[in-house]
Amino acid sequence: MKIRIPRQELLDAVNKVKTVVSPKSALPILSHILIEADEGQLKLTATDLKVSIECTVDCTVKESGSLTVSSQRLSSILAELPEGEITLDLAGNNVINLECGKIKTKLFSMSAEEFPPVRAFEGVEPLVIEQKLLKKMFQKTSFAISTDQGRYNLTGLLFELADGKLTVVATDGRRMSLYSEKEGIPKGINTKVIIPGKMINELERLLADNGEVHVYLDEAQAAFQFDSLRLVTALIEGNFPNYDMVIPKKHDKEGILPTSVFMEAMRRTRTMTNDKFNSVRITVNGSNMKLNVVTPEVGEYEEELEVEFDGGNLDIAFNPDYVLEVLRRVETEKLVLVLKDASSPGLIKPYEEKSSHQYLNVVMPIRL
Amino acid sequence: MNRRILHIDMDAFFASVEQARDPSLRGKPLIIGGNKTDLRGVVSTATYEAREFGVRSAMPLAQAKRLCPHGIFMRGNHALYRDASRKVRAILESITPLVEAASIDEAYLDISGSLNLFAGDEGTAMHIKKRIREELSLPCTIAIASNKLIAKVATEFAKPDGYISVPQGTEAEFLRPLPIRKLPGVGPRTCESLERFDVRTIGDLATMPQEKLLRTLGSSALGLQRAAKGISTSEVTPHGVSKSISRETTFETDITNWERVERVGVYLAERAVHALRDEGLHCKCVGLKIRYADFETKTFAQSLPEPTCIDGDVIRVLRTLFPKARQRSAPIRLIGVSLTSLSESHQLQLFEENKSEKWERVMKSVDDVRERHGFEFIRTAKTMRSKQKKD
Repeated sequence: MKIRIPRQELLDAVNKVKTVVSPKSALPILSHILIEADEGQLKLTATDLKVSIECTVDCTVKESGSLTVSSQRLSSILAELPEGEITLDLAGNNVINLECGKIKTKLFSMSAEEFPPVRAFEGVEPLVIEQKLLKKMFQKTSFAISTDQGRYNLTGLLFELADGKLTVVATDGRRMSLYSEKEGIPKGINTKVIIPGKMINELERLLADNGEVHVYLDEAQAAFQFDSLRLVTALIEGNFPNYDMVIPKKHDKEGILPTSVFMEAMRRTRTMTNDKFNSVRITVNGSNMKLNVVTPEVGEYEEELEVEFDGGNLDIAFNPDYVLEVLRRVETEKLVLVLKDASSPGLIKPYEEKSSHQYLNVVMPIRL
Repeated sequence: MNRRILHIDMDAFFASVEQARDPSLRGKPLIIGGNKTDLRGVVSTATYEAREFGVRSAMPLAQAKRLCPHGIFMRGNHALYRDASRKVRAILESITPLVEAASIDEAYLDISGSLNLFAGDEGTAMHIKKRIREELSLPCTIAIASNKLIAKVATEFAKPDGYISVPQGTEAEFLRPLPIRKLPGVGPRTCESLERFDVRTIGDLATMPQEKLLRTLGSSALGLQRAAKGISTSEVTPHGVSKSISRETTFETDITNWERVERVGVYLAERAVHALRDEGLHCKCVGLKIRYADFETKTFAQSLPEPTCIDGDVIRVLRTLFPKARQRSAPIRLIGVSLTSLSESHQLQLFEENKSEKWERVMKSVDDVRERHGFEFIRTAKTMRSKQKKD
């Protein structure tokens, strides 16, 4: 294999794929990137066996073929090389000659056949969605994905298509975030899969604000194809909990709060908590809402807010981080806070006109 | 306003509670820790009558029996002691809300703001002593000083049934003649290395040049020297919750039967979780302590995914620790179970809350029955075969 390509273009492509490479893998080949050259194009592939990213760039192919190269070595050399054209040439004995002007380096390749194949999804009908929409849906919800490997089924995002409505749901068992959209979602495909959190993070990073994404799904894997990229992931096997069951249906006690005022107050309460005592007590009395933190050996915080609140008085406590993570993603000027009692879930959603989408967050309280 | 800190320490607490319950035990050498047929285990409390024979806390029971053969030995009833402790605390909290429980029989009170209510140091101390004696028939010792450290050291000085006040400004003077081991923070090892440099009293440590101190003990000694000068800024923190709850037992003879070790471990876990619920706490970490026949002691610990106060959750984690302790095949002398990372509040769960809440209700009913009929009244089938403990 022999190619020529501007340094920056290769570096950009490497940077797009290399994030899935795990630095300490038991399989040496997984620390490498697969580079394949054919018909004026270069395809780079990186994988951790669960998530794979492919990136295609144009280049001058002098001789088609394939090689593998250490992801970490290649990206650090490319970052240090001067601007200009570089040549990659696979000589015999698995030695790669990388040249840039007067600079000559040698890198070692492994056999490209050893590189794990990535599922192609030929013959599968894709689902076509706006990149911008999908990116937004992930950004609004992915913070609630569990990182606890002991609750494997929660370490991904539920991706559910039913009757032209796409719903994504994330939960770690303590709070849950849901976004659904009816507009711009093709009808006719009904499916329900769990996409790993790592894949969602990569998609949030790589999806753009314009253009479309083609989504391919089957029982075991999913692929997202857009621009010059294709991301493939194994799906999480297991059952996602019945999310609808925990969404408060009866709006017993409901308040409408200015988002920024509530967020600033919550941020202030956060200055008085610590790892062990991380709760803020919310006491509603008529139109008066009191936020109160008592942290042994640290101090106390109290703030009163004037709010519109219907349904009666209440005393409840939350982890302020869980509330703040939601507030940062509510873009409307006002928000709706629905509460029932001290041990029932609270609901936070934007205060807006009825529309094609729905965004809501459920947070379990802390029992004092 | 001058800071005045009161330290109260109940005298021979467990033994005194037994005497309050059964006045015929008064004035007798009573030893709590195990009954006469218990060959092993240690003394947890001895009355002053027993101490006259040289019996001390943490002494092996066998030795205590040799020293005081006519002593009255009892295994003790912790539920009773906890209850008495709570009643003492209620009296203390009527003096000031600033009460920090240091252990079951010890507490600090910041009385700076309430001195005038009870006519100064002595008036406050006497008021507390009188109420505890009249309402609970229990003796205690009280020391009042400008900080927790001095108060704590002074209490030892005034025991039993005593009272002492260390006036503001005389802290260093008070400490100066005391042997160095009386200073909190000086354990046997530090004591040994200090004595090598001829530091024998707290005064010696207070006046030792800093460079020499740094050379001999390192930077940690600077804090120690501050203490020796009577300086301490530690606050009385009323919200102090227990840091850990543990239960342990010494086998009558060293055993190699792991099935039995595990059964006793599970039983101890049930007792510890029972105490955990009693204090309204949840734990996030479970520890197993094993002392082998050669006295090597190992501890193993494992965190729980979510804080709990349910037997099943704790036992499940405990079972994962047994194989680790089993890697050494030596006979077992002692087993202990500890619950740590305790908290009063806990995060509720979205999808499992019904399950754990149901279990909490079940265990609450079990606790109620135990309250009336004793812990042994309800046991899990698994632990039924382990030795029943009776007073």
